[in-house]
Amino acid sequence: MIVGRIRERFRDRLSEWFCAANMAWAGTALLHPSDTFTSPAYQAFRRFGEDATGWVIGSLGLLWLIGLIVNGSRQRGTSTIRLVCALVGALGYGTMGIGFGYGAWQSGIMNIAGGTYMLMSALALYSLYWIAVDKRTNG
Amino acid sequence: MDTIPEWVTWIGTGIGAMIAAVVVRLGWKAGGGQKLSEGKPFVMDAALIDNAAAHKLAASIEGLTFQLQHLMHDAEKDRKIRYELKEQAEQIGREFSDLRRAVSDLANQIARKG
Repeated sequence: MIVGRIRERFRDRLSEWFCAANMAWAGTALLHPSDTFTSPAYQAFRRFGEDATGWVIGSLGLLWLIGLIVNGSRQRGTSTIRLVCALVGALGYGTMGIGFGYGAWQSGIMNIAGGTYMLMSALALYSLYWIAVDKRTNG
Repeated sequence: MDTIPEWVTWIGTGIGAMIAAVVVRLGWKAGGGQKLSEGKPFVMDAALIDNAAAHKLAASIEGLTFQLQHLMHDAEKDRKIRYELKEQAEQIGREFSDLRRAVSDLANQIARKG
């Protein structure tokens, strides 16, 4: 039954699934024993601490995924979870976009990641909008 | 290359939070027109008929009403006839009784004279 509910809403919530999965993956990658932030591309983020960033982003991504899976039977609670996760995701992606943009500005070398993460932030804002609509409509 | 300056982080986060708040508010307002959680589903059973069908139905009911009135009238007439027959039967019964008494008296007179 849960699979059926997920399937029928999957298309509507595709942006959420993408952002949540991406955040979960980003957290997992940062928690990998190799020090990602030592890479020159990530130099702008060193102030944030790799493990702390990994735990926060990964946990929120996982929580968002759980909220999407459970949503049908616990509408009120999970819509709040989705709202918070989308909000933090939008801020997180925006921060990463700023970081990569700052790195490109400092080094004079354009990178793909800056614009990509800003677009991801816009996608998370789009998800945030529809989560707010869903929450107002269905609780 | 340096890490992001702290003030950039704070300003960026502040601007991002404001944009997110506006987005949430827009979404909340957009969802305001359709509240589904407070209503209960209800079932309405109804049949839609057109004018012609309604007129036919009314005419049939009127015809049935006339027939019913005729039947009631006939039933009343039958009741009156039965009542009159009963009255006449009782009258005949009373006259037979009188006739029997008269015959009996006559027989007694004849017996006394004889």
